[in-house]
Amino acid sequence: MRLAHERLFMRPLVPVSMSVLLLALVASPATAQEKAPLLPPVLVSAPSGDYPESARSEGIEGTVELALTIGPDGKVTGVDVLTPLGHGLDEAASAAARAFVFLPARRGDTPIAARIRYSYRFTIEKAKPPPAPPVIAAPPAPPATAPAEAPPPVIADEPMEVSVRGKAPEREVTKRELSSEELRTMPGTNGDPLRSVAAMPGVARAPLVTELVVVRGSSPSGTGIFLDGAFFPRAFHFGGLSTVVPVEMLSRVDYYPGNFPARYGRHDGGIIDLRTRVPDGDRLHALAQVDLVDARVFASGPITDGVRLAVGARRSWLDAWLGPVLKSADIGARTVPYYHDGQAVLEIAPAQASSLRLGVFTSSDTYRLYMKNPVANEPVLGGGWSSAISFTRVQALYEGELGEGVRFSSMASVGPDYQREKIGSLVAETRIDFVSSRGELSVDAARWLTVRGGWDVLVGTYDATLRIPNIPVLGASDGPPISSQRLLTWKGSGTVSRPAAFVEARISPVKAWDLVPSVRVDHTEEFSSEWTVSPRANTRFAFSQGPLRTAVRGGLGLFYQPPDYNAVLPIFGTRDLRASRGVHASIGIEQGLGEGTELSVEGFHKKMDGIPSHDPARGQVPTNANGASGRVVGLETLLKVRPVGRFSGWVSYTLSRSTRQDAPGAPTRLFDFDQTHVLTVLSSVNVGRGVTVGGRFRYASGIPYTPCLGGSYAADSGVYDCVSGERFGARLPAFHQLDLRVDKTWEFSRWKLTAYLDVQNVYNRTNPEGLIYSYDKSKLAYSSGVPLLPILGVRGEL
Amino acid sequence: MTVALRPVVSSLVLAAAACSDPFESPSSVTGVRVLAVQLDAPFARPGEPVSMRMLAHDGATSPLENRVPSVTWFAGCDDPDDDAPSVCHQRLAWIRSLGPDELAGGAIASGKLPEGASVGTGLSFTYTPPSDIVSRHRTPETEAIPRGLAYVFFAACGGRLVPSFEERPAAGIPVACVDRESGKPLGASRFVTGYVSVRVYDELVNHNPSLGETLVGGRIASGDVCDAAGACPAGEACSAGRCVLALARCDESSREDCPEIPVLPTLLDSSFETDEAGASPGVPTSGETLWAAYYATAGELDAPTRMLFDPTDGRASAGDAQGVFRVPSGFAGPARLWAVVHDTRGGVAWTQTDVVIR
Repeated sequence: MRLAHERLFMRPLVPVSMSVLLLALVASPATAQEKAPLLPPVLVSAPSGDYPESARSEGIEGTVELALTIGPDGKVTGVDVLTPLGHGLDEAASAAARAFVFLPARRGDTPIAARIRYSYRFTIEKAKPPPAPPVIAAPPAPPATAPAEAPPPVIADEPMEVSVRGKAPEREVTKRELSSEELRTMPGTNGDPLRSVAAMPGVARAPLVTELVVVRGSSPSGTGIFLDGAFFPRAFHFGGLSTVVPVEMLSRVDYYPGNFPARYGRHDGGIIDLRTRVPDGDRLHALAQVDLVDARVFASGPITDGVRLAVGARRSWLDAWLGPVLKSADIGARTVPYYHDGQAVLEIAPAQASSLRLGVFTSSDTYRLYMKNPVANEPVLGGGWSSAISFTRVQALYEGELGEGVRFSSMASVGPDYQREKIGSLVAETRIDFVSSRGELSVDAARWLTVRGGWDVLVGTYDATLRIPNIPVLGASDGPPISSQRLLTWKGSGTVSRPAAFVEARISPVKAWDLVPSVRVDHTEEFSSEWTVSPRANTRFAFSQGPLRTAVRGGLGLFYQPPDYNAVLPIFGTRDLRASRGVHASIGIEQGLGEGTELSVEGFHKKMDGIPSHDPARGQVPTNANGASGRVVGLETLLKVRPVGRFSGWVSYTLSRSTRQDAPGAPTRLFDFDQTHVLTVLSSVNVGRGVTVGGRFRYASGIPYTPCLGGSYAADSGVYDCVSGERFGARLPAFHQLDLRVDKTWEFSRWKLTAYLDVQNVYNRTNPEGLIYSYDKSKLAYSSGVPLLPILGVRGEL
Repeated sequence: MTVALRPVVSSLVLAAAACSDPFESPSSVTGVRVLAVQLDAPFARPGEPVSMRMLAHDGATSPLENRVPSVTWFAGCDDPDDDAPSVCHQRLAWIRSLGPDELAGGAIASGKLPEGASVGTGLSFTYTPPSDIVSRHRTPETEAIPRGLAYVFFAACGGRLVPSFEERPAAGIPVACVDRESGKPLGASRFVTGYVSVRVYDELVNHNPSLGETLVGGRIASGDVCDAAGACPAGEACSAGRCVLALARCDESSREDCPEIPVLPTLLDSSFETDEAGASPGVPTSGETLWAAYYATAGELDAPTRMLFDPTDGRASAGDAQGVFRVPSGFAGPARLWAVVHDTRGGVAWTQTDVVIR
């Protein structure tokens, strides 16, 4: 499900305006047997199409002239581009036209095939749109005839025209988009959406096998991950191996590194919103794919007029090859790790310029092991390990126009999340039932003013049974090894209530200048009650338009984030913590360097305070206060070449420094995941004959860690405790890696076959990912990351 | 809440990714080692003394003699913030006022020890928790049973123990171990510091694990008295006046080619106790988890740590629980094997088995 306002503001409105310029019919050569009058086809349904983001962001407008072949059943059976426009607009127009439904041309009472010209116009929406014309009405038809077995006659030589208005992109905020094609073919990611986001500026490289996304020096929990704007509790299958929604179900990923719009909240870092694809309306599309990690199937197509369906399913088959590996390792695998997920999206167009989308998303991860050899430095974690984590989401999204310049959208998402994990003596069992809802009303009040307002509500209940070690907050002293700790046990239930409302105005005093002030009000009613008000403002001024455009943009705002559960659950300490606050400030410049090429440079600064941290004044009981603060300063650069020719790629570089002060008066230290330099160079070349070659090179500073000065024997458990040195006073060595990917596609008459080879770590760099201490903490070595890893896959598509 | 165990899992997977641990096995006792500290009552009582004894070895090559390092104990840190032993490092700063002789067991000048602090030497030590250690502990609302906690620190030194004046001493507590002759600092192979928790409850009881004999290669030595003439049963050899198990020497060039010799302590069922201390309203109590750590003065064991009992999966099979000892290539002479069994609540017990490799 997509977020309602997303469609209104970030997607084209198709067709908002539809007009017939002229529908003059000409008679086809008639035969003696065909004397009945020929009636032209009449457009009755024109579902949504896309305004390609690259063209939209570059301000490309124009008209694609098409020739449509319409079958006797009224469906479009062929599309030819007569007058191309480029920039992906030809493909978008063709795809949209294939989904059109007509009343077929008729000879007398008999439906017949026909061929017409069609003008598909792309325009960037301004505040006040022209009136929406009615659905095309067929003009009187002159007599015409056509041979029964002949190709469809051309029965209109003056084109029908449809205008596709793309909403002016949110250019006043820093928003990066990754298309499904970019996601699917990015080297080194095996086509995984969220792992691909790591190539964007501002994203730190996460340690291996973690499920962390660190954006602009904020904590991992500071970045919200959404699915069509809906709260999304679990983004990854285990170990960050892959995103729980496969790329086939997505149209793109929206990524806001900071200063995000007021419709998003409860996070003080960044936003990643996975946008599901619109099911295909032209014909059945199907896909089957298998590689080293999983096997998947996907199908998308029309069901009836105005109703489309996309379904997908995926199951890892790690168990098939990992099982023997674990067996040979003799670690007692009883259920080898595996995951599966499934998705279904049904889109209905109840009326012109409106749609209703229903979606179901499920995910499950399972494993069961018996570790007869406990982890060396934590023997209490030996024995049985089991995990069963799953969720189901049912979502509904309505988008529509209520009148001229008035748009409304509403989304609701509901479903349970289950977690049953056991690691040795540790237990975590939770069930959470969340309902999230969003809605937005947008009114074009004047040519220079659009006002939007809406809600963003998250409510739910939870039940939890925990037996776990303490999870210290910032500033807490290093505890003993888990094996020496008294485990914390708690069973509880409660409610989550986080309603919010927002209002935003887009003011354009002159064409080149957008100013978007907004305010968001959040309420949290959980362990404590709190209201927060988040004023924000973003602006952009374009000095010039077109491929060589120059513009500057900036933003300033407040962003609140409720405390993590590990800071407020009674088992850990303090109920009355407030939300932490972040002040985001950014200013940047974007410079077009020619068709499809753009350079953007942005400086950012974040000041965070009220971060939950340990409060020694509260005594020995683990108690916390909003006492920590942080600061992040950095510079992001992105040079991007869009796929307008054979070549595409980008270079992203982030220079940043993120620090924390764990308590008032405490020394300033590096943030846990601070990375001074993060560089990604990505390129893809279509070398012809269906072969695409891509590469990705990454360089990232090593993350900080707290070194052990020595070891202290913890007699309770028989292992050595680390005697810590300066907090985060050392860094891992830098990471660098080259990944390559080759795709080869063979096109057949009705389907195509693609084979791909994704090779990670081509030069087999031994990248340090973690620390390995000798048992007494007197010696240190690094655990290494993925060695050279080729992943071969094949994909068949209808 | 859904992420509660994720950091644990991730760090463990990272650790597991280090398949090839480049360091010496912890089972190999080649230097000064503290192998266990046992309290006579793992759950102590407020105001009542608790005795503790240490299993330690100095790593010397005459294992059948009682070769132990010099050990000094330091008490005086109860109820640390966050239950964190590292908090005690600052609290024990008074150690810096002690001279080498005082650290070695000499009389301590009056006034050097703060109230509640004490120092002892040798393999045993007695500590008395404050009588109000439970009542003044601020028990979280989620804890059903009030408790107190103290840490007793120790230093085992293969040379001479001296105070350390470094701002961040590598030992945690402000002591260092220096060579008796040269005065140069000794490293981790000759110097071990550590701590033992003293968990204090008004009524709760925890027992140390109950162990029977340890089988080595499926056998138990007779233990008969013998002399140099060596009148011992078949398969045994005389060592230090007792008949011990004899193991065949292995001259294979690779350790992996030497035969596996299982080492398995007998764990009595009475060891499996319920963890009432971890109880919380509405949550079923769990059993203890028990595991064994194996050590040897010659060579090492393939699996230095093994699960013995998991409250969910029950008692581990003999094959899963046993340590696997391999006679080191080309080695002949006496050796000592230990099996130290821990439970999750501070209970400890061990067995010691001498063998002769010939």
